[in-house]
Amino acid sequence: MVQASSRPVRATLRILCASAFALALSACGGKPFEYRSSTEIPEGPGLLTGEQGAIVLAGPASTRTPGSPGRRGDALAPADSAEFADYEAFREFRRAKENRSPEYREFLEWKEYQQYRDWRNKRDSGSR
Amino acid sequence: MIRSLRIKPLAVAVTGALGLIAAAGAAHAFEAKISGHLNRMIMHADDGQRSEVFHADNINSQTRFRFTGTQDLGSGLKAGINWEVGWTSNPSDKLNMTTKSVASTLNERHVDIFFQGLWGKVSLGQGDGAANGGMEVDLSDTTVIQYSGVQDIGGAFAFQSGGVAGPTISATTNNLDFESRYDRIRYDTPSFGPVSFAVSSGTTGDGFDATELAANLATELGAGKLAGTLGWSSEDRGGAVGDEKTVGGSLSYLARNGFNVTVGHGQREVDTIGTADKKFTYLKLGYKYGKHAVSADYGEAKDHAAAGDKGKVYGIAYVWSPQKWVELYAGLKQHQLERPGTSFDDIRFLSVGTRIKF
Repeated sequence: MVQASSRPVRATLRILCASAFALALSACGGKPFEYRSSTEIPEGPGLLTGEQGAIVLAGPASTRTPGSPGRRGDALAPADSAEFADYEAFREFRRAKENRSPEYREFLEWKEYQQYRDWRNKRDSGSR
Repeated sequence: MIRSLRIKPLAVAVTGALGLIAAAGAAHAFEAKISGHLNRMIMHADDGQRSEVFHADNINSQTRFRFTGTQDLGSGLKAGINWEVGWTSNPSDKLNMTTKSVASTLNERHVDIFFQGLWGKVSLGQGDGAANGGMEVDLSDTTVIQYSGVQDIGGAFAFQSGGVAGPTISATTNNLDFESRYDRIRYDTPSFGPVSFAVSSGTTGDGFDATELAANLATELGAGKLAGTLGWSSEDRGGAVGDEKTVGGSLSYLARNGFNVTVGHGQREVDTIGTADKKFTYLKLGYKYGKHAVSADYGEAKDHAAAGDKGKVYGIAYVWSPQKWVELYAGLKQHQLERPGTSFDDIRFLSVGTRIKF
């Protein structure tokens, strides 16, 4: 028979163990990634929706599914406007930066690689 | 007249939604999408007394569609909606030897509004409790046919004892995955490195107040990935049962070479003196290579329907994904129930099906 009085203690211990476990794991210092349960709607392309993976009713003009309702302001920045596309790319980059996405981290690594290459070129030219 | 009255609210809603989309200002990023998938399978079941073939919607990941929308509000703040509806004909957890067909139903999954900023995310409405899915973290890529929610395929089948129906699989072998989805308010912290936390409070579909806490982990570790959740929930069921508390979690590791291992354990207790805690333990080993994934699992449940009960399940699974939007799968599993003084026949399932994202 389970003693009722021991239950709050056991529950507290479990919560403490759980918290300690989580904190211990957080100390591993690995790179985070976004876990998505594969019982949810899968990421990526769809049978009917192509690479988008969704019918885009509204959003950046370059991503919208043809025939979907538009929004005010599109006339000022048509889908084929290079400046608008560039602006959308900039906003996507800013969102990636805010979220510290893998793509953004890869971009930082690429920048670091550029610095390394410059440094190596300078070093090599100096040694000649 | 009646017809026009019925149509009018729908017309108003659609017009309103389109108007909202059209009225969204150009100054802030705005996005609205529709997506979903269908998941159908053919299932052969043998309960030791008879065998039948069923056509089912696979409840491991039921057929569904959703509308999502987000809008930047400026200053790093974002507002959004997630309206997701399941549409199931013959759900795989409701079919059994006497019920070969279940009428199609629309069932709410998410009717959720959220606000998100650097401080985290607040969600309001019908949606996942903080710990929902905490027993089901799995990186094997075979979850569409095999995961810890072993009751989702064949859960309504009854164990047979000498031709007499006994308890069902759901009643005896359940993964104790906290409080599922319900009407609640939920807060998710921002990520602290690979760890984040969540808390929710609301009213479950059974009308009981519930509170949940969860710690989530997702990190690259060594030459692979590690994901896990630890959760706690309390549901105030009232009466002699009192508070029903669940604690548990799951952890899954995927190595770069494709090998993966998933473990889970949960316990549920009620205030009633003398009632044994329900327990569930799960182990899965898998291997992914290119577009193929295979796995084998074992689950054990103790004291679910009655003290002394031991429900066991073991199975194998295979998933082939020739394109990113389609999975073809097959799974074989066997359920057992050990109960002191009673002998039950095993129940076997062979399922073959496909999930297609549209």
